[in-house]
This record gives sequence, C-alpha cells and structure tokens, in this order.
Amino acid sequence: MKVRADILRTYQSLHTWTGICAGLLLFIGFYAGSLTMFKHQLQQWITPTVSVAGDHNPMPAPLRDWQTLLDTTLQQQALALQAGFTLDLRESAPVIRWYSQGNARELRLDNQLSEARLNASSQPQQIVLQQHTENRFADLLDYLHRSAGIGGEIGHDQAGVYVLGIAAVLYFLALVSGVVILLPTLTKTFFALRTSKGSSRFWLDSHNLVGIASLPFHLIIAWTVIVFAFHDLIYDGLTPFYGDTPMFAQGEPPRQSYDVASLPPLAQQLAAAQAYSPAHKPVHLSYMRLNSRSPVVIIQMLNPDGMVRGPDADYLYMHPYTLEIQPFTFSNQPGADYGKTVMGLFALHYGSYAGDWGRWGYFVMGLFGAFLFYSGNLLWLDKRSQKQQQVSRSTRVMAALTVGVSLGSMLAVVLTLLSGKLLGGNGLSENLPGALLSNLNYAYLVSYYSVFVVFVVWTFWQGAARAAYQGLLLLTVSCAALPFASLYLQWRQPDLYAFSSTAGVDLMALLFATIFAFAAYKTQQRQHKAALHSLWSLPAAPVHSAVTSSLESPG
Amino acid sequence: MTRSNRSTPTQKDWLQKTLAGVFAGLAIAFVCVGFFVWYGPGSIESGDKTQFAMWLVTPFWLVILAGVYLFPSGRRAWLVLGSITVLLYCSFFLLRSLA
Repeated sequence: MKVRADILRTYQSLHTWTGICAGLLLFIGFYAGSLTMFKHQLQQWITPTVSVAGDHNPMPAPLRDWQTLLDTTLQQQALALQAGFTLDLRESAPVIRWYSQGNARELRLDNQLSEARLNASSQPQQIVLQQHTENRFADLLDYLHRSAGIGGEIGHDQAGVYVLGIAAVLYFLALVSGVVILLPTLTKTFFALRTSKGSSRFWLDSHNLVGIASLPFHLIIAWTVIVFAFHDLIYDGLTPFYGDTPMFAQGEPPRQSYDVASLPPLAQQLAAAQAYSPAHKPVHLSYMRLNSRSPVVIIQMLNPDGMVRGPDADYLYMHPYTLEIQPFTFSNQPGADYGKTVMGLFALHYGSYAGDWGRWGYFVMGLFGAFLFYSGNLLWLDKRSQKQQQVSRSTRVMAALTVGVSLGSMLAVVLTLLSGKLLGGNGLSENLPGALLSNLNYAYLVSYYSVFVVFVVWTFWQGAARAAYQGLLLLTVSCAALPFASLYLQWRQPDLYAFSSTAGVDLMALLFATIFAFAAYKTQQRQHKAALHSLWSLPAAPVHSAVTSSLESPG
Repeated sequence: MTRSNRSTPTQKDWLQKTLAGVFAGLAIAFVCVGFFVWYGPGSIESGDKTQFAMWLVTPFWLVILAGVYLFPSGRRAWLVLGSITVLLYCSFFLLRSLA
C-alpha cells in the first residue's frame, strides 16, 4: 500500500517519541501484568501455608462444618462480624476471616486479619481465634502492574495509575503510527525474520512481527487502561450532556436495618446464588455492612468453561437477608447488551474469558508486549548512534535507562520473591523487632525499591552494554535460585505441604533462568562483534565520562 | 532525528496539532457520545447505557488524536476541529432545548 512520504515521516517521528516517552513505564506494566495472571500462585509460593494438624486433605470442607463454625462464631463474636467477614469455601478446614484493623479496599500494609476456626476437640463447640498481619504480596504485585511502581496519591486515586493512563494514550498513538509506517512494506515483510542481515534487522523484524500479530490485544489493553485510569473524570465530563436526567437510576432508600444474628443459613444463600446462574459455582463469600440498611454479600462465582468478568471470577451481589440479587451483578439473561459489552471489556483486559488457557495466553502476550517496548527502545538507540556516527550523551542516558529500568525492575521482583520467601519461611518475621522485618509487606517494598534503585544507578555507572550482560546474568542466577529456596524450606520445615502445590512456579523460574542465560550469551556475543561506534562495543564508557571509552580497546 | 531542513508541511507544528487533537478532539468525542446517549438505541435511564457511553468516549477521542497529524498545519487542525466542535455543540444543545 502506498502512503505519501511526508505522512510516513510524520508518523515515524510520532512512533519514535511516543515509544521513547512511554516505553519503559509500559514495560513494567506489561511484564508485571503477566505475573499478575498467576499472582495467587506466587503469593502461595512466597508464603507457604503450614498445614493444620497434619491435615493433608485437599477436599473442601462440607457445608455443615461451615455452618457450625458460622453459628458458633456468631454467638461468641457477633460484634466483630457486624462490619463484615469472608468465607472461602474452597478451603479444607472452615475458617472465618475479618479485619480487626484496616479493610480490603485500600492497599494498606498493616492490615490485621482475624481468623476463627473450630476447635475440633471441645464440646460444646468452641472457636480458636488467631490474629496476624495480612500478607499482601499479590496486591503489591498488582500495584506494580497498575502504577509501574510510582508511589503517591492524587485525591483517592494512586498517582501511578494516572501516569500509566497517560502512557496508554501515547501507547495507542505508537500503535497506530507503527502500523502506518509499516503499511508500505507490510505484505512483503510481515513474516520475514531476517537473521542474515545483522542483528538490527533481526530486532526490527521481530518487533514488527510481534506488534502486528498482537495488535488487537494491544488496542484493547490501551483502551481499557485509559478507561480504568480516568473513568471518574470521563463520567464528570459526560454529566453536562445528561442535563437533569440522572446518570444512574437510584432506587428507594431502604428503611429497615438488619441484625447479623438473623442471617439465613448458608445453604439457603448458596441455593439462591446457584439458582441465579446454574453454570457457576459459588466459592467465596464476602459480607459487608451486616448491621446496616444496605447489607450486601459479594459472591465469587467460578465458571471454568466460560467467560468471567473479574480477574478470577464473576461477582454476584446479593442481599444477605432477603436474598435479592442486587445491581452490578453479572448477567447471563437475554437483553442488557450494553451491560454485557462493558463486562466483556473488563474480561478482555483481565484475560479471564477462557479459563487457564486464557490466563497462559495473556501471560505470554504480556511478555511479548514487554519485549515490544524493550526492542523498540533498542532499535531507536541503534539507529540514532549509527546516524550520528558516535554514541552521544543522550543516547547513552536513554540506553542506561532502558537497561536499568527494564532489567532492574525484573531483578527486583525476583530477588523480592527470593528474600521474601526465606525471611517468611525462617520465622524471622515473628521475632525480630522493627516494622521492617515484623511485617513482611514492608520487607517486600524495601527489597523491591532498593534493588531497583541500586541496579539503575549501577547501570549509569557501568554503562548500558556492560550492565545489560551483568543484569541478565544476575537474573539467571536469581531465577535459578528460586527452586532451591523451595527445597531449602521443605528441608527445614517438612510440614509445609505448599512446596508441591506451587512446583509450577519453581519450574517456570527454571525456564526463565534458561531464557535469561540465553539472552546473556547473545548479549555478550553481540558486544564482541559490535562496531566501534556502536552502543554495544565493550567496554562501554560510563555515562559520566566519554573520555575513558576512547582509551580502552573494544573486546 | 529529523532535521529542520528535511521537515515537510505535515511535520511542522506537531505541538499545535497535538493540542488540537487533545482538546478539540476530546470535546468532539464527548458531544458525539452525548448524541449517542440521547438518540442512540436504548433508554437514557439505563445505567448500563451510561457505563457503555463512558467507555465510548475514549475510542472516539483516540481516533481523532491519531488522525490529527494528517492536517497540513496546526492552524488548519484547530480551524477544522474547532468548527466541528462548535457545530456539534450548537446542534446538540439546540436539539435538547427543542425536545
């Protein structure tokens, strides 16, 4: 297809600058997003559960045990349960959890979670109460995905979410302009992966191939990220067009308030949920505001064979006393097409419409997305240093940022997994004074940010070429260390059954260690072959002095 | 990257074009969705339609923003997008006041 030359050049610049501005933020968003596909498995890996009294029964507990626990807890702890509590019916031993400090909505690291279990030996039934700090590794990973690690708040929103929202606008422009500049050669070179014309050509071909092949995925992600970030502002912008018409119909305010003691039996509640959608399986109940006029129970409904509209499940909102289905519940009924479309868009972002296959697919596509941004930056750097016949200061800075931020962020996550598992597993968290070690959530944060900052600084000091090789080596070693941490803990505490249940994480860590090792090898090879005026010629000069580079000889 | 002597009419005033795309483009996206919520299929009273309308603003805006660089100049971009904005807002509020 022919495109006018000046239009091509315009969109070439647009592609370059939007990519350079947003690429690194998006890199973190994408690879961390891939990890969030399996955040529960990772959380389970980093904080293995100690099995209760030799109970290795993976079967969920029968419903009557849950009812007994609920009745007993309601008798003895009614006050604590008023604000809300959760039941996860998948667990093998019934347990009721509630927040004795904090809540589920905000990302607070010092939430205290209370747990009530049945004391099997006592008659009449007694409950055992435990309190501990809620481990939020999965939520922190999610936070990294949504904010690229940028802290701070604007109003009641996280600032990093807005920043990624803006990055997503640039990302959309980069996608469109990338397609435009490919149009003239698209049909000729789409499947061409030329290895013989030098590594630059190979990088360009794979950048184009990945970009075009996963374009629909990327368009959806760009759209949903912008909406997730700015939905409140867009609603505000739409208000004038509605005039006096309310944007959302408001029902009659309820008059009656309820009491937690009169909660209907669980079996009745679950039957009501099941009747709403027989294809789903209710697995998790989360009660809120039980003594108020607007109590609600949010029931997570699994449907492994169908689309779910949340990250893991469909959400059914029910009145826990009258068992009425509330607004915002997913709909399988005919009609309500607008609502279904919107719900579908959520599922398209979460990759939750095709069970585990969909999750693995999104995991891979997210990593390819990260590759797109990393390769895009490298291509620009190469082209720039070739054009200028030297490696200018700005090129060096951008190269150091690219390598430092991308590899540094991944290295920080892997080392946090490693240190978090060892810290938690050794029981260090119980005994040591100070907020840092007594609360693993803080330890995760300190670990992530310190590794990240140190590696970025290291990259600027060492130069991108050297740090890229070292970073990939470090990633190889630390990924390979993850399974050994599992083995070590298993040896120390044989009652942890979690090793086998998260062996998948260990296997993936080994796979990634192999990939990083291969990348390190290729990086080293490229450095040996690199031309004098290439960014990759070794030893690359540190950013702070361009003089030393001319004194040392390459390779 | 692009030296000034090589730049062509389309490349000049990228800032003006971007601003036109961001602001006029957003205004146009909102009024288009305004037409949709009143005259598109389904009742305006339905909360589902409101949610869908909110989702719809972004793609309208992004398409305008991505296309704005095709204008030969920033002035032209502002002129065309600005007059479309004025035209659409006038007709929207005129229609609403008649209804």
